[in-house]
Amino acid sequence: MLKMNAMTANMKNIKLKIARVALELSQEQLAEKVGVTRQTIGLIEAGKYNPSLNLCIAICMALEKTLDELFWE
Amino acid sequence: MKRVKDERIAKEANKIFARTYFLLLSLTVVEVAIKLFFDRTFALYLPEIIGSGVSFLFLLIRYTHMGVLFRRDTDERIEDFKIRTKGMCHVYCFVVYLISGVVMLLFYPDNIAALGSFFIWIIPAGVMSHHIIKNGLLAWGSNQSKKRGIMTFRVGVPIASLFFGVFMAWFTMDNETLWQTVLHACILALLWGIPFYFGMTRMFMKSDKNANQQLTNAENECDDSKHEEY
Repeated sequence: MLKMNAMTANMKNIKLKIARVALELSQEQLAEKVGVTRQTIGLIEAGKYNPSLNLCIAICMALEKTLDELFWE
Repeated sequence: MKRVKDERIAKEANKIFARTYFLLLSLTVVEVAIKLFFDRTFALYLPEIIGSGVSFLFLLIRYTHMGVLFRRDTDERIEDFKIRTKGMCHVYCFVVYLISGVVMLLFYPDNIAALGSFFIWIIPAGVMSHHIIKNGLLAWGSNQSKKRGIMTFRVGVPIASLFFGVFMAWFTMDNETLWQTVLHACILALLWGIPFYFGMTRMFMKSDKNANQQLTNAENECDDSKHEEY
């Protein structure tokens, strides 16, 4: 169970991070686009903060992805 | 001072406000008990009635309306609602005490009992500031927001300092010439403005450092768990 949780957390990090890097955006640039702080984006990528649906949608729009692609397992 | 609106920061800040709300209420009870020894004029107790009384009543009505007054479950939405409500009550109460402290100083400058409202917010303000900085919630967001924010801050502090200087010099202007009053106001403005500017700048730097540290710890924790897996 512990390993599955760790794997799940890492999968979330990778999807969002890959999508951000693919658009050549830094955490700061993505944060500016979405309207949050760099630390919040970093914590979401690290799996330490669960964003609200509105924030998830804003991130998806900024990265030109769907909710499924970034946040669904 | 324009900063980025961030839901994570708003949530964490609300948690801090909610925790210090009952501290503010407790201090109000103590302050009223002490004030009763000095003066029992009803007008002197208006800040406490309007601030704490109205906010607590609002909290009870809101909780009752949503049916959560006596609920003890751990539903996330209900907890979030309770925290937001307590946060709102605290902010309202805090602002009332700040404004009423100034008003009391104007109408009852020689009455020691009137000064209670002026000082009651200092301890909760200190506690809130400590937790906000410790949790890295005073964040600019990005370099662009930081540049805009610093410019606004550099313009705002001198204006606020002058306002403070003029306000405080107002009380002694009857016994002074015009130039003496202007000099008095400028000195008071500097005495307040300089420590405030450097104090706030330091607080922002410390908060930013704590926020980055928090992020580094979270990323390292994530890496450690990945290594454990393999």
